[in-house]
Amino acid sequence: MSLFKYISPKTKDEVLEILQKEKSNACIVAGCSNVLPNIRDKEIKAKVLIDITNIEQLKGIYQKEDKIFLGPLTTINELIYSDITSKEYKVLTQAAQEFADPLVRNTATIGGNLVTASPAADIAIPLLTLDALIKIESTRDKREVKLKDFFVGPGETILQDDEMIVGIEFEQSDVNKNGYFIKIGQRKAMAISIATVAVNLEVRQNKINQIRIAAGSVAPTPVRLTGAESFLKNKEINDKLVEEAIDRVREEVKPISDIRASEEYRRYISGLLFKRAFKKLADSSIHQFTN
Amino acid sequence: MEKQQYEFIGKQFDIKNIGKVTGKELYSSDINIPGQLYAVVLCSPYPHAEIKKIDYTEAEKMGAICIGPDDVPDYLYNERIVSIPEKTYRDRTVLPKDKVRHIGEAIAACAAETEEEAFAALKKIKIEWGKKWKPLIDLDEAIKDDAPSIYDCVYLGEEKVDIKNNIACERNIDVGDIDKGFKEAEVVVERTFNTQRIYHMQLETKSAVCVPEADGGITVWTTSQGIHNVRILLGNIFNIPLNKVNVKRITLGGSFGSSIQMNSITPICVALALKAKRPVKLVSTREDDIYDHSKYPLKTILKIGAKKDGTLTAAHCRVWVEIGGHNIQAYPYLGCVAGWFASLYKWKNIKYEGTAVYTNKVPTCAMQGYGNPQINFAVESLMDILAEKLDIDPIELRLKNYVGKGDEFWGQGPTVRSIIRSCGVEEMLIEGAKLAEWEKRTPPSKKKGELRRGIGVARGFHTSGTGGPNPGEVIDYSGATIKINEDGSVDVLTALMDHGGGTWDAVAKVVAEVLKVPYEKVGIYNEVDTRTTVFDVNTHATRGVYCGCGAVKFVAEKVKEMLLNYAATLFKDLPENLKLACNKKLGQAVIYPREIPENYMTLGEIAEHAHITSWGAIAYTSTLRQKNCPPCFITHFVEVEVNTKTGEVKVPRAVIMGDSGTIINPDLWEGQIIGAFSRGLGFSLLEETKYDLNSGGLECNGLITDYKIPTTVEMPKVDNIIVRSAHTYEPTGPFGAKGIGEAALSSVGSAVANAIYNAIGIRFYDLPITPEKVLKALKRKEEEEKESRRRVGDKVD
Repeated sequence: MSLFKYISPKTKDEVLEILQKEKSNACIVAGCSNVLPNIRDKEIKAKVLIDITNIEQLKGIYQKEDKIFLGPLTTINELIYSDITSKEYKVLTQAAQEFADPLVRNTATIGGNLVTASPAADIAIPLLTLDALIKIESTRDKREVKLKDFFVGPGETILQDDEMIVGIEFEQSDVNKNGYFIKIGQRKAMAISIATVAVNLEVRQNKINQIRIAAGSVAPTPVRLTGAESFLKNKEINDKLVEEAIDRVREEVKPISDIRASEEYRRYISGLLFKRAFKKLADSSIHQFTN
Repeated sequence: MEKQQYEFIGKQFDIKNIGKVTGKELYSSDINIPGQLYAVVLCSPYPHAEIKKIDYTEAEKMGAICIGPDDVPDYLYNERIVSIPEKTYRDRTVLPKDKVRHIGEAIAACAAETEEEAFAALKKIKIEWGKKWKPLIDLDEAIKDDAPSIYDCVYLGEEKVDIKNNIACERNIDVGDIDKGFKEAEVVVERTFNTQRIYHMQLETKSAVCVPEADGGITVWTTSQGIHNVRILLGNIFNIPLNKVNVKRITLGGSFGSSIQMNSITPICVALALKAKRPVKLVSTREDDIYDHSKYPLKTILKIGAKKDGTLTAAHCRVWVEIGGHNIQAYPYLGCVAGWFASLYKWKNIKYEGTAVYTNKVPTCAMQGYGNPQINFAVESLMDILAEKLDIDPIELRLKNYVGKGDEFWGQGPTVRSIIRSCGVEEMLIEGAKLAEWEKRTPPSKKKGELRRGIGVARGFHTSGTGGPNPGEVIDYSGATIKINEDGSVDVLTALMDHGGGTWDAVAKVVAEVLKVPYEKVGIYNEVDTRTTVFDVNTHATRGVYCGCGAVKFVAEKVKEMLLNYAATLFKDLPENLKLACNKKLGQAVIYPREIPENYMTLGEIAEHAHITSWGAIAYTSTLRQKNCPPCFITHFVEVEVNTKTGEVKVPRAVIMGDSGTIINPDLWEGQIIGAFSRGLGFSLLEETKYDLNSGGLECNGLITDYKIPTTVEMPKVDNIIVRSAHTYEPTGPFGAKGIGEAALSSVGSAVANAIYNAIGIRFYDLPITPEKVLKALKRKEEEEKESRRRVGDKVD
C-alpha cells in the first residue's frame, strides 16, 4: 500500500489549480467504485487524491435552454430517479438500471464512468447515442468535445493531465427522446458487460430520418457504429433492411475474446442486441412494421 | 417407529448465533493479541519450478521474521486426517522443500509489526529458481510418458509409493459379473461426461492467529471445520505434545468443504510464531484463497445396460480426476464417487475404475458433495437418455431401479456401508411430479419460438455422516460435555462446528428436547477449544445433525439419568416413577412423580439442592460413533427457459423435494436447500476456474471480479421455488433425523441439463452449460437438420 495525500477542495477552480500544479501526480476521486480497486491493484500510482464530492457546481441534472445538462458528479442512481432522464431520455435510465448493483449505483458517477474509459463503460453507450458533448476545463483552457471523439483506447481519453470534465450536455431533440439500451452480462447484477448496444432513432414517414448506434465491450473503446448509421439513414424501414443492418453491425464491431466471452459470440450478440433495440424503437414509431 | 410430537424439535426459535446478525460475532480474522505480528505469504509465480535457493537476509534486515523451506519441519503430511493413517497419502511439507507444483503455492513467509512492513520485507526475498517446466494443465497431457514428473514418490501411510505418469492413486471396484450383466442387456447406452473445476467462494478467506505459550505449547485460532484434527496435525508437524496444542473453536464464515483439511496457511502462521516467539496473525487475501483450493473436476465414461422393460443389468463407470499439485484426499474421493454411483440405482453388476492424476493446478478438495454432483450429472443424464431410448417415462425408470429401503448404501466409499432404513424416494418423485405438473411436459419437438421452456427431473442423495456397523477407512465420532447449572440452565460444550446451516441450533433443540429445558436456557458457546471439548471428527459429510447431534443426544440422556437419580432421592421414589417435563409458564424443566404433576420440583431447585448439599455437578462427557450412514435423499424438478437467440438459460421455476427424516430446523433446512440450489445453478450454468495453458495461471488472475457466481436475481422468484419434505423417520437418527447439506446440491446440475434437453432437444455432456455452448449447439443442430432435409430431398429427386 502506498501513502497518499488527500485534498478536499470546495470549488472547481481550486481543483483546477491543484491539477495544474500536480498534473499526473494527482487523481480525481468521487464515487471511488473504480479508484479504490485500482489503488489496491496498484494501477493508480498518483500520490495526490483530489476528492471533488463537495463541489456543488459539478452536480445536478437540469434543462439549460435547448439542452440537458448533467453534472459529472451525477450518480448512476440519480439517472434512474431524475424526472428529466426517467421520463424523456429512457436510454440513459435503462443503462443506469443495468449498472452494477444499487450500492454501487449510489456512489458511482457519470464523470467517473467516462474518464475510466473502460470499453465496457455502461453509461458511455447511451451518452454516445445522445451525441453528448463533454465540457472540459483547465486553468489554461476551456473546450468541448463530442463524446465519440473523447475515448482514445482502453483506459485512455483525450483529457490532459491538468484537465477535468465539468459537464455533459445533450440536445432535447426528438431523436434523443426515442432510445433503447440492452446489456448482456454473465449474470444480471454486478457483471461487466459481454456486450451492450444503444440505439436512438427518429422516423419520418416510415423513413429513418436520424439514427445513432453505439456499442460497448466490442471494441477497444465504447464506439459509435457510424458505418451502420450511414447505411440506414434515409432508408425506408423493412425486414430486409434490418437484416442487412445487422450484418453491418457485426462487421463494424471489433471485439476480442476474453474470460467473459469469445469474439465470435460478441460479434453475434452485437447484431442481435441491435436488432432488438431497433425493432423496439421502430415498432413504437410505425405500426405497419412486421416481425 | 412412529413420528412423535416434539416440544422443540422442528419448532422455530430465535437463532443461537445472535452475534452473526448483530455483527458482533468474532471470526479468526477478528482475533487480535497484544504484541502480535502480521504475516504475509510469498506465493509462487511459476506452476512447476525448482527452488534452488531462498535468501531472506535483506528482509530480515528490515526487522521482519522470515521462514523458508529450511525453517519448517521435514515432516511429510496430508492436511486431511479424516481417513485412517494407512489410507492417507502424504506428499507435502509446510513449505515445499524442492520445487513448487502450482502457481500460488506458498514458498516463504514474513511477519512484521504491520502488514505494510511485512509486504515491504516480502519484496526483498530473493529466490533463485532452477529448472522450470511447462505446466501440466490437461489430464491427458499429465499422464503421457514424456510428461515431467510432478512427484517422484510419496507416502501411503508409512509405505513409500513411486509415482508413475503422475498418477496419484487408483481405485478399482468390481461387484458381480459385468460381462454377464451386459450380455443380459437388451439396450446399452454409453456417454462421456465432464464436470469442471469451480472455486468454493466461501465468504471468509482462510485466517489464523497463533500464540506461542511459555510452556512451549501453542494456542491457535483458525478457520476450520474440525479443530481436533488441526490440533493433532500441528502437534505432529511441530513435535509438540498434543496437550500443549490448543485450537480454539471459532465461528466459520463459510467453508463449503474447504476447511475439512487444515488450511495451508495455518502451519505457516505457527512456524512464524514459533520462530518469532511472538503472536502472529495471518489472513489470506481473496487472491491467495482462490489459488489455494478448488472443487474436484470429474471426467466420467459411463456405460449402462438394461432390459427393454427398464430393468438395469450392468454399469461400467470409468472416472478420471485431475487433482492439482497436492493429493489432499483423492483416494477417499475416488471411493466416494464409487459409492455415490453404486448407491443411486440397482445396477446389479458393477465395474468401477477410478484414477486420480496430479497436474500443476490449484489443489482440489471436497466441496458440497465430494464427487456427488459430478457423478450424479453423468448418471442422471444417462438415465434420461436411457428412458428416451426405452420410451419409458424418466420418473418410471427411476422408480423401477432406485436403491431404497432395505438396500445397501455406501455412505463413504466401499468400506462404509449400511442398510437403508428410511427412504422418501418414491413419495418425492410422485408428489414432486404433481407439484411440477410433470404430466403437462411436452417433448422438445413440440417447442417453438425464441424462448423455449423445458422441465427436467433428477434425483440424488448424500450420506449422513460416515458411520457404519464396522470401522471403515474413515474416522467418525463426535462428543460433548453437557452440564446443568445451579439455576436449571444448561451448557453444552462441543467441538462440533456450524457452517452456518444451523448445526448449533439443532444441538440446542436436541438438548432441550431430552432435558425438557426451554430452548433459550440451553447455551452453546464459542469459548471452547480442543482442551475443553472431546474429539469431534469434523463437520463434513453432512454429519452435523445425524452424527454430531446423535452424540449430543446420547450425552444428554446420560445427564437426564443422573438428574432423575438425584431427583429420586429428593422425592424418596424410584427414578422410573418420575416424569421430566417442560413447564412453559415457569420457563423451567420440572420433575414430578408420574400422575401427580402438582407435586413438581423445578430443575433449578434440584440443581440448587445438589449444589448446596455438595452432591456434585449434574454433568456428563462422552463420545458416540453412529453405526449407520443413512442417505438423505433429494429430488429436483427444474424448469428452464432457453433463449435460442442468445443461448442464455433462465430458471423460472423449481420444485425441490427433500428427505431428511425428522427436520429439526425447518426454516434453516429450507434455507440450505435453496442456498444449495443457487450454488448448483452456478455449477450448472456459469462457474469455471479456467487456466492459461502456457502460464499455468488462472484466467481470472485470482480476482473474483472475473469469477462470477449467481446472485439472488438469477434464482426463480420466491413463490416459484417450492420446497417440500418427505414424510419419513430415520430410526437410527436423533429424534428420527438425517442430514441435508450436501444432498441438496447433488442433483441440481443433472436436473438443469435434463430440463435443457427437454426445452431444445440438445444434450449437454460438459458443465457449465454457458450461453456460448448453447448457441453453438443450436447452430450445429440447425445445420444437421438442414443437411438431413437436403439428403431426404436428394432421395426424393
